[in-house]
Amino acid sequence: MTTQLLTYKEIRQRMQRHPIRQSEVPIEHEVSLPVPTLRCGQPAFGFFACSASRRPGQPTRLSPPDRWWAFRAQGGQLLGYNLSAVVPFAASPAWTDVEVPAPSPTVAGVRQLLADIEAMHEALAPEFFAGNAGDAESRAALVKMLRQFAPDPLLQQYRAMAPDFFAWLEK
Amino acid sequence: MGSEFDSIREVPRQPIIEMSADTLHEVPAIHDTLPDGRETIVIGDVERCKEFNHLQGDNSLGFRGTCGLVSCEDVLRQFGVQVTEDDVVRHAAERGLCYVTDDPDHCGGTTVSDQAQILRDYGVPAHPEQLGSLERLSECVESGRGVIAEVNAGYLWNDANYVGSGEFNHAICVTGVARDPHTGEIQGFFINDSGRGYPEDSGRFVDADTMRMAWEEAQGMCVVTDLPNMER
Repeated sequence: MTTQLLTYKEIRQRMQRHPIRQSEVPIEHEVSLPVPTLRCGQPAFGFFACSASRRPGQPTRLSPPDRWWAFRAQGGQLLGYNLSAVVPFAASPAWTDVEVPAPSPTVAGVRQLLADIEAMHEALAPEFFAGNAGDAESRAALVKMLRQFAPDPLLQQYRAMAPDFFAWLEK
Repeated sequence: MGSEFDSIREVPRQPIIEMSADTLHEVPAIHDTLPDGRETIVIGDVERCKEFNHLQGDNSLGFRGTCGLVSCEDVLRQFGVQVTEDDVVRHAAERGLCYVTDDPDHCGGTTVSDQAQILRDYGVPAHPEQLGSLERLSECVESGRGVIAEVNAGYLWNDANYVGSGEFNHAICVTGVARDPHTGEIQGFFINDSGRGYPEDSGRFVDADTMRMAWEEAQGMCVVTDLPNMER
């Protein structure tokens, strides 16, 4: 029997339509990209969300993540939803508010970057979940894209959500 | 600020303001010209609804993340319920229907469930709905319903600073639809947007492509009133 996993795009759509998004996460919160991880004991995608301040003419300012959740990669079922104050997804992080510059000067540039990140995850997530090495160039390219999309200290939050995936990407 | 909301209050099940039944009025439809010069038919009470929009953050608690709450205020005022942003913000904060934290800049966020509940609390039955397409969005507006649309601010404002991960992150009111008078094709929508404080964001025309990117691609989520607006 082969295991069929949801694609990266399908997981994003699942999250956007999920009751969590409708009833728990304020629409004004900034929701992370999904991150592949095995931290739940099975292939899963983790998300986190932060309250955000968006004032015209200024970069978005994000609070530290105040909630996180994970969906099963096979089937998309919710594995858990937690407020960080109750169950943090990282041990004692010293996160503070962060200003996030636009990853590209234009909206078209940001859309292209998001599309490239999605395409790269579509190729690499199955390799990661299967325990394969994956293409080294592709892994390096995805790291570079994620650094562009989420510069430090924001990228540290992604690393904390999926330390296993980032260790795999960067080996 | 925290001490005001420590106690849990009993929420009355009756709506705060009873709406009286009235004769159903048709949604206005007028011939007009779009900003780019195209001929159009505007369906919706766009001009009248402009006065219900203002820059968000006008409340005594100092909450700034109140686009959803201001959209609720907008819809309520469209339906003849006389409220201010402050009324709606305090109502939501007291009942746990908006996000509250130490930083007022980050306070006031709502879920679609919160938005629908607030409208119901004030006597305007409403529900979250994933309309998912511009045509379905048009149908709701053209039938006279109040509509709050959850959009991506970066795509809506053409500003790379606010795209984020591309998800919806802002709430607006949709007050009108623009259709080609010859083909009926959706040319765009008219919105009230509280996010920037620009005068032109009251009754602003958003073309169909932008709306597709900012709303439909973000899964087309809305809060829609159960019944049409009878207050005209």
